[in-house]
Amino acid sequence: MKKLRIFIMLVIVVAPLLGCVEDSREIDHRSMIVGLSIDQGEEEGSYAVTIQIPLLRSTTDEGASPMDKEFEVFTAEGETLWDAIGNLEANTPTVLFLGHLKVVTISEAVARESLKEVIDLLDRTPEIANQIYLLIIEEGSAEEFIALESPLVNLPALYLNRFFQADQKVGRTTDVKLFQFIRDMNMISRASVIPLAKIVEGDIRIENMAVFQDHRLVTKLLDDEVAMSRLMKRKEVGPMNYTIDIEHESEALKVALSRISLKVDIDFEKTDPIKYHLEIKGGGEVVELSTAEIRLSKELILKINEKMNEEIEEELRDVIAKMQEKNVEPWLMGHRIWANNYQFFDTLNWEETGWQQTEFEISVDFKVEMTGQRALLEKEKIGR
Amino acid sequence: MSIINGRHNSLGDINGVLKNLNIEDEVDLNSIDFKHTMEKIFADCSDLITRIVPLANGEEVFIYYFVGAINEELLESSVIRPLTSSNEELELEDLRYCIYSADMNELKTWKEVVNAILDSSVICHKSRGFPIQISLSSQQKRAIEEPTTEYQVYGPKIGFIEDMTSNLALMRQLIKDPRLKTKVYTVGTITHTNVSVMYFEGAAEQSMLEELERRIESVEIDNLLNIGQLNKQIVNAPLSVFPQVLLTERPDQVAFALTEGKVALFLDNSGQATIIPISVFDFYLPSGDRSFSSVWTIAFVRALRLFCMIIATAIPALYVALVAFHPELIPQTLAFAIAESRTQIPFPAAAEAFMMMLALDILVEASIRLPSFVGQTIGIVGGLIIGTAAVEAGLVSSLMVIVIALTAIASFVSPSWDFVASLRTVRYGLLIIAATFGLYGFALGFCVIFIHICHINSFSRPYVSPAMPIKYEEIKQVIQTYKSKI
Repeated sequence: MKKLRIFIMLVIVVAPLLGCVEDSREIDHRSMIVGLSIDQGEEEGSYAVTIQIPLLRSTTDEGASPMDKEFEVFTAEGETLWDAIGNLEANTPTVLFLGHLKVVTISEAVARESLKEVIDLLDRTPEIANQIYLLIIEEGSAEEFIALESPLVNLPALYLNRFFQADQKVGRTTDVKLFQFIRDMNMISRASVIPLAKIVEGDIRIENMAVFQDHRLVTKLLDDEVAMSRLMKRKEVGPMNYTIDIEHESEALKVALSRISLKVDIDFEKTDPIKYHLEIKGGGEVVELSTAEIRLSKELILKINEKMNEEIEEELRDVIAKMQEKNVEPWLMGHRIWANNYQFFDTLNWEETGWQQTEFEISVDFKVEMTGQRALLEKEKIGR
Repeated sequence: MSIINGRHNSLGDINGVLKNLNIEDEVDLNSIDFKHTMEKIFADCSDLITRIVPLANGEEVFIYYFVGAINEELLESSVIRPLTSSNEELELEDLRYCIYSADMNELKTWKEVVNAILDSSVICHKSRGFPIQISLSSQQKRAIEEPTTEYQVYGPKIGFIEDMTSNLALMRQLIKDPRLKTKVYTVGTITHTNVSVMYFEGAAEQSMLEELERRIESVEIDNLLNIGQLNKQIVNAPLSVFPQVLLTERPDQVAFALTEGKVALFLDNSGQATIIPISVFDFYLPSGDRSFSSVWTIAFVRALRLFCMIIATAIPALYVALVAFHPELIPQTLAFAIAESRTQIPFPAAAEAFMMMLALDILVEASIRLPSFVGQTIGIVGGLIIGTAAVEAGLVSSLMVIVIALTAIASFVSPSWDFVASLRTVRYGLLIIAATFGLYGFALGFCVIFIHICHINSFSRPYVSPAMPIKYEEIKQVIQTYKSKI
């Protein structure tokens, strides 16, 4: 009886395990998709899905040239996205495996009209990790973008993966993963951003961000607006680059600053309309002056600080105005009020007019932290 | 009844033999009758020597011994010459007066006679008297050498030999303290093997000593020739895959263990001692570690060994589970490398791993039993075949070779060969379950192993002590060993 009980217990424990047995498939018997692009199909309402699969060569294959192509792309169309992916299986000898998918590129046309369906598919497919990067292709098709071979990294999908993983980059964009996009879309403002990319003279260029509301592309954040947007959402931004023009000793001077990091302290007054107080603090390094003869004096540093304060405030006001104009708020500001002061939020009519009427009081305290200047200005020879 | 050596019918003890031959318990006082009985008991034993020594008074003394087991020169000088040269009536009446030996016993039963002669003694018998046992043992034993199964960088270069008395003497050299105690038991109905229990009074738990005594006395075995046979009969869970005693041939290892309150078992004709009770961590703590002058070196070496224990057990199974079931968990570039290395391999990863592990174990087994010069050749040939030719022939992937090589190297980090062999068995089990159920099975297999090792005890000590129940002071000792425990 005891043995029977143990046997039954064993069956109960082992039986659920058997579910995964049929999933067992050797790694070399799977077509590992690393990049996926989604375009509009030729027929109206259809989709064209392109997959990027690395070419696996035997390690003992000595005939392979380093110049050989490292990947292959296949495209198929279908009425739905899954139909298109299903049609792609006809092009590959082994089963399609989305477990190593890193990047999904979506054409601007699809992003404007049917991003919801794309995100829904990605979210529903269990093999696809929720940490994949999303990218909107501005000009040209997503297929063209994913088929582009970069001389820097063999696989375009890996190129994008590495681009976003390089945290110290001082570029003008930032990564957005699938779960982040879905999370933000589920917030009160139903708004989120996705980085933009395009092909410029045969090279990949990733900059700027597309702003979505209710899964529709409503506007774009360009150049330094991306950094300001990031500051508003994450309450900090850095490292970033910025160049200002100032006048010094009756001469026009360009000052390039780098490794700028800013932090913002956000507070609000419970007024109607709501009034936000943004207290920004931060610093950066002077890395280049247009005139090498000029030495950085205290006076000049104060000038740079002042100019930076003005510029940052202006940039921030511009980007806020841009978002208010489109009545889209991708920074979770409304959601924070909703979560912490629900009754007050209820009085704001946030979605219709609340956000657009919101007032901002901005104070910026920027300080140059490093000048890169080797010699001291007051340096004097000993004995004189 | 013995089941250890595969027989179900015991050969019985000396009492049974005497009973079968219809021999009374008491010895014959008549020397001729005694001789006949001896011939009856030891029929077809051509190495039994019977010498008849005529005395000055016309009587004869019968001397019995096994050739080679005694020192014949000593027999000549201390027994035969005094007997033949003596004329005094009193001396000749009682042999004990004229034999030059301090170690003599009068034997009154046949069992004592048989045991005595088998214990490398000489039996002298003259009519009207009881036979006398004279210890003139001349057992063959090798010189004390460096341990061959437990090499160490530092530490003493002496190891136990097959002579128990020499081994006990070695221990007395290391621990010069009257609290070092030994108790001797005789086990084995045929072999009558001496088992010596050594402990440090005050450090060893009395309850454990009593339990050990009870277990040794309850051992039922005909032929105790190897210490492993005894170990299997005294451990708590003899069917467990994990060894619950620590075998060592290093006296310093035993000395440290004794001062830590453990008990050592020595066996006649065995070159190893058994240390009990032990925990799984003891297999990774050789005494040579204490020779390092830096506690951090000791901590690093011991942590490395424990890490290697996990690698040696889990890596092939983990590799198979990831490659066959969950490739999405492998970092992307590594996944490409694995997939590329497997493109021309005709076997699934599980079969590939199984073949390689089997090849490795065959190689190990083959090289163990061969002389060192042939063993090296086998190692080189096997290494070449497994490492290079198999990859070039497309039978196994190069990554699998790395996995198996890493596994093999990691498993041999354990200073105990007994434990290495256990890990080898566990490795196969984990591979099978991982190949069948993937990572879920792998996790389940590990759970079963953990439950099992948490369940077993080595005498009263939990097998995973001091990790569970957790004892911080002991863990600190295990990691650092910066001061002695006693």
